[in-house]
Amino acid sequence: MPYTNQQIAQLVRDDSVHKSIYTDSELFKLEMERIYGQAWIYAGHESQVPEIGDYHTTLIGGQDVVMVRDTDQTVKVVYNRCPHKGSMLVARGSGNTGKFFRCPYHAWTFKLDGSHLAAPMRRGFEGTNFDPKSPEFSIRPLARVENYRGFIFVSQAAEGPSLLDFLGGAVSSIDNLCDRSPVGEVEVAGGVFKVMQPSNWKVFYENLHDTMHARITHESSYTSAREQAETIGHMPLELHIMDGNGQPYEFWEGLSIAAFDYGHGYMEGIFNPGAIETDPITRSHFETLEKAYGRERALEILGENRHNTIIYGSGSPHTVFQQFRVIRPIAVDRTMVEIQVFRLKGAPEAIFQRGLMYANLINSPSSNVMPDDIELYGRCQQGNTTRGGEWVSQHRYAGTDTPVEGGFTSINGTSELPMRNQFRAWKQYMLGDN
Amino acid sequence: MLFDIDFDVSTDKAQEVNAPLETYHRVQQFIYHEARLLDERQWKPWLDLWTEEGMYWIPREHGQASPYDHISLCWENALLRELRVRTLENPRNWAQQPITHSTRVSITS
Repeated sequence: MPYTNQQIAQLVRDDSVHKSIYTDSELFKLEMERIYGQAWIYAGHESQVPEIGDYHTTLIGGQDVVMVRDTDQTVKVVYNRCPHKGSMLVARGSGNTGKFFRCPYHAWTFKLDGSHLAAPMRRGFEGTNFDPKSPEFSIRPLARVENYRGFIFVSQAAEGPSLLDFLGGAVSSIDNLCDRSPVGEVEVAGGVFKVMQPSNWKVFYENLHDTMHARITHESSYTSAREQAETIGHMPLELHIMDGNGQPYEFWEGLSIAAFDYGHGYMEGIFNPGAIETDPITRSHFETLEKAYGRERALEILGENRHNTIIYGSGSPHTVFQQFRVIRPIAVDRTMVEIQVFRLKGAPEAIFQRGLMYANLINSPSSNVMPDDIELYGRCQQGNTTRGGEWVSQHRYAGTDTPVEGGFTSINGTSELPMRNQFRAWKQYMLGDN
Repeated sequence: MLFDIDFDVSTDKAQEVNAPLETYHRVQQFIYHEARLLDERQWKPWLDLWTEEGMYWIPREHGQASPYDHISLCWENALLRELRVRTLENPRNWAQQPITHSTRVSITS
């Protein structure tokens, strides 16, 4: 049943949203057009395609695309579709296609930017409407592609805000991540985890800044971590990262949350991987940055301690443990999360190992922590298909969202401002108000 | 730290060994015993099978040679194995409702 704008608007109240937003495939299809078809979405990192011809496929709102390193050294992103019969040019995954794309069906070839190169037996097209100069006979590139410090974003819409205007305050997290490298660069390294969630993509986005869930959802892992620490008499980093989820409510209340236009945001850090004075690894990282940037700037960079950042539609970078959880909607009740781990170029290897350790313990499908989240997301997805009620509550500190330049801040760290902010953006996209 | 350990855990140097039948039988029985303990959720006896420096490794990729520079599904020392057991048995482990039943299949040749 096609939704009118009026019907869509009624799904989002100031303090609650209708459960069908998570369960209706019609709305999911509209989201893929109106949100994923418009917004800047993270395609991948240029380090995933270092050499000419290297490619890496991904999904942008369900659209199969190919990120590729062109002969001019820039990164291009094209739809994975041959203009001849529509075949995907490359299978999903990564590889190297040489200096041009060659469709495996009839060997039509294309430059790496998608433009038509050659089709076999040209004679057969004489006197027809076949026109190698027309875009109809080339691979279509995504409407806009931008590279911000190695992070490749794409938009399927030719018009719209610039990438920097779109990212707003959230760009400072990408900057902080890169600036933690003494040469200001990061690279995807050490592999990528993939986790399939049996739930709608928005359930995960809402959880990323859900400060009230941690000590309840993760009770089994943080109480176990504390028991473990007690038996050995100290708390190593591996246990500290699980223990953090068990902080008392007062702790979460004191955290600051920033919410930006287009649904983005970040929240204050919850871990302390090591003060510069007391932890040798952090000290060594600091000294590397001090040499590159000077003492004051180095302190500023490492002092920026954030937990999850949200780039709505793309995923969640984490600056302190160097990762990006890329969130790809697959179906209304299915979401794929790819966790990319980054190496900070020029930083001590021990910092990269910390990122590996955090990923193994928190993001692996075998994690002791994450499965509790997945379980609850799945329960929400299931519960919302029942007739047990219509609305999903976002009442915490409703009415106190404080406007600032480019977004809002909260008056309390347990405010559900992040959820309300995401739906503010959702509504704008879905009504065509962006 | 988990990544300070530096012995080669890769399997590409694995070789066939000509062991006496008795040794071969005892190794086989040990593997079946471990599988049974885990399938029966007998965590304490399973933890007791390990030496102090033993590492539990489930690589992320086929042919992954190293857990030191690449993510792994599991790369766990005694501390983390014990933690895993505690978490599995915690009554508020929501992901274990119902508990996971497993059946290990050992293929030896």
